[in-house]
Amino acid sequence: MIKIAIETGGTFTDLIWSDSSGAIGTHKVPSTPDDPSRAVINGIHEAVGDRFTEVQSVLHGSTVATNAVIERRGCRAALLVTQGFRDLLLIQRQLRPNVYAIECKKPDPLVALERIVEVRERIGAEGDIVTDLDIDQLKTDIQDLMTKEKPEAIAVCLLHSYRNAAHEIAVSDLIKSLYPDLPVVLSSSVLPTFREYERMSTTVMAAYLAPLVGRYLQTIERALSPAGARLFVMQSSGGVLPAAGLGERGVEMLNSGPAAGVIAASSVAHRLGDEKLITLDIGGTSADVCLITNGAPGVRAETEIDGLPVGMPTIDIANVGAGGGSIGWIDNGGMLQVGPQSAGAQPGPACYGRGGTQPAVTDALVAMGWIRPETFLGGRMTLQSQAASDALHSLGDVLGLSVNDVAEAVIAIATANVSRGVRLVSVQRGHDPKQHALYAFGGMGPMIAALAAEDLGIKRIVVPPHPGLFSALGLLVADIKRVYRETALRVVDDTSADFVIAAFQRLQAAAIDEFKDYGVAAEDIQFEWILEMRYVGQGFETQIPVDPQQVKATGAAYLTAAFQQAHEVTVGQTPSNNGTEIVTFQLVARQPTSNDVLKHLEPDHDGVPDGHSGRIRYRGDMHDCMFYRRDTLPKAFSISGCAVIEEATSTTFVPPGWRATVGDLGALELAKESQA
Amino acid sequence: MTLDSATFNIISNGLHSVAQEMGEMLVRSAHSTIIREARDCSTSFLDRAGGIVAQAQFCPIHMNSFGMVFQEFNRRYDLSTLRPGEALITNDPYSGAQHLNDILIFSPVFFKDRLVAFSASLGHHIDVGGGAAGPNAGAADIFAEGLRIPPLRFDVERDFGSGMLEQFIRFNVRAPEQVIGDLYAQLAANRTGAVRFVEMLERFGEDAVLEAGAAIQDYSERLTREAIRQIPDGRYEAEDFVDDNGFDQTPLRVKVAVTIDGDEIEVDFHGSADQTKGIINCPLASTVAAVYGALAVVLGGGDIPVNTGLYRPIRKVDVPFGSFLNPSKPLGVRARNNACHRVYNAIMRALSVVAPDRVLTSGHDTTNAIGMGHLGSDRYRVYMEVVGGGWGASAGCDGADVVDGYVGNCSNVPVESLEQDYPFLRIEEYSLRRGSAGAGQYRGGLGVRRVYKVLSDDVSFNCYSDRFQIPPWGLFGGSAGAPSRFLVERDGQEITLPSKTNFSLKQGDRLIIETAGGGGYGDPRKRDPKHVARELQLGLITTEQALQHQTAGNT
Repeated sequence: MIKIAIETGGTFTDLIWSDSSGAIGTHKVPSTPDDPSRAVINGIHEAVGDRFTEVQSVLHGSTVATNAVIERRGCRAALLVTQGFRDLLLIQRQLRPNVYAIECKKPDPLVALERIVEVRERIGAEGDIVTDLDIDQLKTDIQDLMTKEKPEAIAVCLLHSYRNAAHEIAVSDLIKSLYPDLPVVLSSSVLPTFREYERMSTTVMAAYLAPLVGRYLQTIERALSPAGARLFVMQSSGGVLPAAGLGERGVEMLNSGPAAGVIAASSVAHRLGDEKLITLDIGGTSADVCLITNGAPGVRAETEIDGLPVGMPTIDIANVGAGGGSIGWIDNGGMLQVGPQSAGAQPGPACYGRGGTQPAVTDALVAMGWIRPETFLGGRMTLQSQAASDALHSLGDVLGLSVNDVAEAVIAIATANVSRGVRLVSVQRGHDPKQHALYAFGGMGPMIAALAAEDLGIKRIVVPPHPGLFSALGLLVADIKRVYRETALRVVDDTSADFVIAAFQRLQAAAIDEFKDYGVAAEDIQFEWILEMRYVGQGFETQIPVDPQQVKATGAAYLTAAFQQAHEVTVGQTPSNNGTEIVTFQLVARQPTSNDVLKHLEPDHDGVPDGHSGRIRYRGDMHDCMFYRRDTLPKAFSISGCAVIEEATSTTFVPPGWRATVGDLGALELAKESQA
Repeated sequence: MTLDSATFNIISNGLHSVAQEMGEMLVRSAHSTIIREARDCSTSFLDRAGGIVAQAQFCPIHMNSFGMVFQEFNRRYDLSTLRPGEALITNDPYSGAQHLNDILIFSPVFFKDRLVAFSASLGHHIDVGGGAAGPNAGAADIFAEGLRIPPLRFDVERDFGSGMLEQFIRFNVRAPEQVIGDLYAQLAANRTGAVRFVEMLERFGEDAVLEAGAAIQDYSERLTREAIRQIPDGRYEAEDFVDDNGFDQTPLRVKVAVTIDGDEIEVDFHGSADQTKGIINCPLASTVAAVYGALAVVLGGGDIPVNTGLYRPIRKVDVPFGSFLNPSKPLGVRARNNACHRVYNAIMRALSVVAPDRVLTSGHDTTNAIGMGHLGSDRYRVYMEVVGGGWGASAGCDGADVVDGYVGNCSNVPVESLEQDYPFLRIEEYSLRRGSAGAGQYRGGLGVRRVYKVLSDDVSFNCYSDRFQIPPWGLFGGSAGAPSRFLVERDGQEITLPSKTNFSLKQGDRLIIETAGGGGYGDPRKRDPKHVARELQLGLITTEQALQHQTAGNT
């Protein structure tokens, strides 16, 4: 039996698989952006060869949904709204992106006004029916819409439907009776929470993605059917769900790529005994940073994609424009900047020799000697160090700096941008980064990690095995997980424990029902209860995990205390005589996955380290430096910086003052030595 | 500059993050809809001498006035004797502040027991007492506009909570939970700024941070001077008008002369209307802030960090005392944003002849302050929202539909949030106001139509607005946008409301707010016919407007 994980990236599709004997294999194929499923299907066949029929489950992380939104390649969707609110997708929240800009443009909506139709109905704030649904008029209007616009999916978002979904359901029933094959997405099922623009934007995005995501997943499922394998898809919340029926929930796949890396890190950290960690995933264009406390990454209730809000539970990952391809440039005022523009894969940094002339972070690393041109990507690509120097030279000329000095400056600014991302998820949320281990992965994370750690006062870094395939590894260990939410809007003091318990029991019943379809028995599901709470009158909620036993025992007093404590950490003191309010009940349902696969990552040899000595530049001086091939390092091998540890998908830099040791699971553990 | 370029970049980005994080903290911890949903607030970080080092991107009219309030505190108090735990507070328009609803709090920041900087925040408070639950259009003077907090030095622990300052404010406003909650949110934002700044001092050293703080101002100054040099020397004049003062129909002139002299600018408002009764006078701080804001758009367009350095090449802003742009005490100023917008408009118009691609046509360019109050059996509920309109068009871009005017950037309040918080209202329509945009090669933005159904008796409607009489103008052949109008439908009758008014609403009334569209830019006949056809088909423009786009060969 084989379990295989596939992560589709912009340039490569990464595969990692394990079988029941514990053997682990990895594979990499070029991505096929015109039809990403081709690389997925071919990759599986190439990776497992004639053992294809042994494949039992396939876990997939894909950017297909994200890219469809960014590139506006979703379907021709239509939208039904409450009468009087047809233009809401254009009005949005009335904000200007930059208050001093001359040109002011709002993000383009996913549904054109031609395909937005008003429904005569109205529900009030308490869920009361103010105006009955005019079903006859609706029928005519929908038939008209279908004839004129031929939409491929329909989103329905009626006011206050989070309180009373009756009208949305009636609209859906009507459409289904007329056009049984047309996907219909209701806001009351996608996102049953208040704030109409955000809910509408999310619902529209779900409809916009439905046919495309559905077709995509079906193509892969069909290809897997000879093996009888089941397909699971990564969600932005950090769990996987069976692909069957996911088509209409394509929004839950948005931003799932970075989530998989975070899940892998939290799984490795659990094995290594790190409870508090910060993940740092740096690739070519950007750095993704996430804070994990007590083994669980933070999840926030909404995110944004291409300026459009999406109200989906998303792992709280900060993204900053700092990667290997980030370009150094000088702005109008003469200030040196790095990123957010990236040289990408084409033309790539100047040292790729593909015609790039602007200096990227990778060029600076080559100039400093931290990346050796002949061993880059395991020697699959030879870099041109002269091109790197030339590009840096032209930048340095403007600033009156030498190539070496400008290279150091570019790296320092890129590092500071990474550190800012770390501060965003730690300091700004009330956590001290010094008390956390930094888990670095992606092609460039292990290179920058120690520099950022110096900046942040972090003393422990972990570079897990296969750092360049780490997101794929995350898919192998992710739980089956889904988040259920229900708007409450109840003042805590007026809310009995029974009311809270009944709400969660309702959500649990829905979860049990759905998980049954996944083949998961009720007793195998773990539940977490979370309350989204605020002081009465506040506009933003804090997520409070609650213990069902304590809810039953002490009720409101316990809830208020738990909220005040969490609020104090993130926001600070506030006058508390306004009362506390439960805005949303949130239930997390999961079937845990075994992470046994991790123990097979240990290096199984005690060979001789393959090392070469060289010289590199660091903070203005030349240093002796050892270069090692990571796959030749035996367990417990240890070395003090300066050292560079190279492997096929990534490079780890160990600066002076740091010691690297090969630890459990084959992870490289870097520790800050006493003042070097 | 002795700082190396990497350190300069790192510290200046760090300082900007401090101000931005303060702003997010303020919004996230605020209690009133006006701050938490509409983001009517601002944060700023100042050096020890009151120079603005960094500010968050919120409302321009706030951001440019932190320095002026600071100077007033500096005149009154020996700020070098401030101790940790103290702070400064005021809302007085005659002491450098804006209007009474905008309360500013400055917190001193200490490092190694020495005062090194100030973190500051401004919140627009939902109510500050006064003659109406919202703008009091009939106010004869500032005392009728609400509680006036003089520039005060206070001790947070002693004077908040059960202390004198909090209790005094609490007893004098209609919605004390929101107001006091928002003041605490401001203090939390300031505290966050202080903590982050001290972290930076520890990391980079005091000298480096203070030097970078000064260098950012020099950097903005350098860019600004360069931009001014692009504009030919000369004296450029223009005018625009505020509709009226709320009492009679006389338009109030804003007359500006902008002098470009090498890399410096002078702005002169001689010839502007005299101060007047009502609430439309504009305190000097607001007028100057509007000048700074307008020039930040024309010269920087969002690419120059807006701090004290950007203001330095503005050699002089001459506003005659006794004009409505620099009134004497104790005149009312609540609706000063009307005049502020005309300051922007007049400057744009003056410079349009020499910098046609750096200016905008007039948009709705008004703060449409829509307030309602209702005294329920349990408590007073005060609703306040800034309703957007059409944005001006420019040399390469249509005006955006439905955004706040220049001086603010308030978001709308979600209908589902509003209807929960204010059970005396229901929104029946929230739509683009079709046909309201001025035609042009680039059209103005569309205004909005927002219809409120009133569900209780004795709801007071309190508002100020403008552009009811003098519509948003176009440039270079573009036509004007439609003016704004407010109506009440009662028992089948239409009651037309003036732009600045207090009016008692009854159950069953429909209050209709229609805001102005922006003026067009350039000859309508040059507009891409594809856009014309589509917008006509969708009803966004009228048939008459579509006809303006026709050329002889294109009918």
